[in-house]
Amino acid sequence: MSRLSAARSFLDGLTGLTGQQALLRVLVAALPGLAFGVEVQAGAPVQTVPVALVLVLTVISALVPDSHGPLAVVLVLGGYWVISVEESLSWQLLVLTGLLLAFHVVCLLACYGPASVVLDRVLIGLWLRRTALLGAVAVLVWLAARLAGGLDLPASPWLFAAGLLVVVGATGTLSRRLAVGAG
Amino acid sequence: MRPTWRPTTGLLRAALGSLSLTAVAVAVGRLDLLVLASPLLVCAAVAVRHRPGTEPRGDSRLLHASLREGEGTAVRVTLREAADVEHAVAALTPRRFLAFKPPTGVAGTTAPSAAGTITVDLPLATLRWGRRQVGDGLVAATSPWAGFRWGPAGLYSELLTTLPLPGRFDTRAPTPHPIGLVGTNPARRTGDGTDFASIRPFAPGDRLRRVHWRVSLRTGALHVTSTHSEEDSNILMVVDSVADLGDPEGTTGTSLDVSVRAAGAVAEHYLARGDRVGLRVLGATRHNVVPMGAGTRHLRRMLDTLAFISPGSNRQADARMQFGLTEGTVVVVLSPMLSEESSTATLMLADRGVSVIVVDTLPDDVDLGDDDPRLRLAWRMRRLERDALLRKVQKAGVPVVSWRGPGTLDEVLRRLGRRASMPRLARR
Repeated sequence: MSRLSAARSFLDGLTGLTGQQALLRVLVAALPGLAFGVEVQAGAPVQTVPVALVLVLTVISALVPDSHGPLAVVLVLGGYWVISVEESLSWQLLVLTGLLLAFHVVCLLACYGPASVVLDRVLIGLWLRRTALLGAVAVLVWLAARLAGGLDLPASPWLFAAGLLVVVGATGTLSRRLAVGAG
Repeated sequence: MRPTWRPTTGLLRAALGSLSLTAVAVAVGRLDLLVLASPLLVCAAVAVRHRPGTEPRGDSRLLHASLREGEGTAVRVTLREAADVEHAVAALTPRRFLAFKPPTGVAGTTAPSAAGTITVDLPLATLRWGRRQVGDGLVAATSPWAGFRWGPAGLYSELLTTLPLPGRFDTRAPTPHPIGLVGTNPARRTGDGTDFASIRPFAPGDRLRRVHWRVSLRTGALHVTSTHSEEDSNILMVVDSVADLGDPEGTTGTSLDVSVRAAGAVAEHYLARGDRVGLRVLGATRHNVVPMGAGTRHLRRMLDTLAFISPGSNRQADARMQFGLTEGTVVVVLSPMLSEESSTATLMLADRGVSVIVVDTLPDDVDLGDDDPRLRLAWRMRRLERDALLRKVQKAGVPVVSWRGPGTLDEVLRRLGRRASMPRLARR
């Protein structure tokens, strides 16, 4: 396929967006901005380069969600949090985690087919339940981290990595059971 | 290349994003990054755990291969060996004169857990007569948690035949030369029937109920009422497919639309009356002749042949113009009279003494020269040529009528009936 025909089919795809896909793209475009706002709220400075980077990557993600643009958005936002915010287990961290999770799920839903596909309620309900489950995992890890911070244990990243693996295993088993129950 | 399961960008995002954050968290000892990474890490882990093991097979099937205009059916896309598939999506290639539901021709379905076969039905309606390929497109499948994607794989098309929907037609006029055995048209010869012919002297073999008593008493000799016998007749439809003008999506359609639907309507009407109807398509190389026949199966055969017509497929094939007509056949030429072939055929039939009627099927709203003055001039010249052809045909004694549905042929058939009883000159 030549570049011209590829560009034409891309533009055709954009003009053929269904209402549902347009809403998903709007969410893809909006969530990184909100996440950046939460980072600023947590103490990150507003600088031109990260703002421009997030903006460009967000536009790319909204136009082509089935690309590595969303991965770059996640890495840039996570990296900016590491660089510019002191270690914090505040509510902003939980909100940022939720926004990144929502961004990931919305990008997944936008990639289920061509831009003109309409996803059925069963699939959307399934992903709402999964998102809630993953959010619950994040809350559990957040609570565990706060508890560990409160106990003032000696720093041991391996301990937390092991704990995280336990949570992953438990969630996998739970999701399997949920899938069997739904079937 | 055969499609296989491949990781999605979503899985790569969840895996790479979460592992990167976790690695940094472990390296610099920051708990908050573990919280950030945890949902994506779980998502990636579960998606990898549901890695598909079997390759599905996709195919599409048309539920009905033959429809009438405006009717609907569905393309059923089936994925077999789809135990690892959570969601399947099919996208069919859009075609002219086909309306999909949804209009994009793209539909998806979420499979119940561990279903062996997944079907996606895409309803469609066919809007215009003809034969066209349907069902080609792409199908793709996604595994649970959107971790892996299979496809898109190509789907093969099938042939959908759309039979023309005959327009409304009715005529009360009898055909001029009924020559068959039984039917509904009053023939020239006398026999059993209902139409009054004459009162004549009684002859051996006459039935008593035919005796006309008042004339018999007045004349003093037995007289009987004679009637015209009722017979069937032969109708040959000649459809001109050399030229096709007009907008197929307009209110009246193209000239060929009018011709085909009119031919279907006339054939349906006469076949329902028990007459024999045949078909000849001018400008087609294959499927261009349907011999005379009667009955509902014959109507289906005619509609099938009409559905095969492709405009302007061949302009040279009808040079010899052998129609193989029997005596008394009425020929109905359905044509926009824009080609030499149709006018030549009409004049040749008229020269042989056959009763010919030309039904002008050029839609009123055809205008090819809206924007370009040169086109406008060319179209005016074309219309002048057409007028000259029509005058030539009319001068040869062939009536020309515009198609207007019921009653189109009434007047000309009555005139032909009157003319049939008069002496005439014909070339043998």
